[in-house]
Amino acid sequence: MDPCKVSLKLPASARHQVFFSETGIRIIESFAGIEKSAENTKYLSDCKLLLHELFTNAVNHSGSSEVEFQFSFEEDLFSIEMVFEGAGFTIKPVKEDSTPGTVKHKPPYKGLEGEKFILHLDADFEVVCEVTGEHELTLKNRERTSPKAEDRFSIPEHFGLFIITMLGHDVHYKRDKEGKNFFSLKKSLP
Amino acid sequence: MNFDIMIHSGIKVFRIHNPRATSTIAPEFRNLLIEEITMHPGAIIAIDFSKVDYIDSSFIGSLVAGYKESLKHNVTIKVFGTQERVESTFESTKLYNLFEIFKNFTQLKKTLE
Repeated sequence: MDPCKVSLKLPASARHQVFFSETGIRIIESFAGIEKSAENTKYLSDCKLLLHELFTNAVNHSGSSEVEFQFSFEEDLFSIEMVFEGAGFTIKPVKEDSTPGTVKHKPPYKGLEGEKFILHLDADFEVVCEVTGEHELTLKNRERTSPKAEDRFSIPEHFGLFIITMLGHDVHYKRDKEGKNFFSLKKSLP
Repeated sequence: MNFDIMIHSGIKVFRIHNPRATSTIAPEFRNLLIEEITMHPGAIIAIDFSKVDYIDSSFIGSLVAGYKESLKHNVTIKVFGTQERVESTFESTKLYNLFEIFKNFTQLKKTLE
């Protein structure tokens, strides 16, 4: 497969949610050459959920009127870059019992370089955010590193980020000098 | 109508009629579920997902909010009728740690006999 790129720009409005998810899936199917088959059903279903969560985040949290998605296809993976205006990614760490914390960090993340924050915590997994620069960070889904809480009272938050980091990898956010935000991730092809 | 509530074999059944359980209907679901929970302490509420073929993180968040409220009011929430795609999202997000999930209402009812 030859490397190629496809862009899609649309208003950041909930009423375009279905259009975006359906169009995004068609783009992935077509440019990655994925046929509709029983083996690929789960993969495409995961892709659709991933697209849905990305768009939902753009609509609910970006404050931007428009959002642009760039799909890039390579040999064995594809990547999605979401470009939007607005205040950028706010780090909202959860507490040890998985409940929402009170601390929030908006970009620029001055003095936070190298710091790690847990944004989602369940019985087995956690989403960890590492600040890699004043205007950038990475997000990873990994096995929980702290002792398990009693399940009944460990009720996770931020499922959207959990889904995005579980279904995609190399999740990265950066903000440029003009105040444009770039949220990107990769996904291996089936 | 996105939801309705009926009594089936003595169990309160919360039916979701919209096939897309997403952010569009999540706030309404959350409000209705919490209202039912607070009005009926000690009750068993069965949530019918048989018409739902898609669920997103916002709706999951509403379910979790209902679960939190249910702990305060000693209400038991059970889920049934999940289709393959919904079940897969439930598994990924570990919702089965919070809710008992049944294939259908008959199976759910048997556990209460």
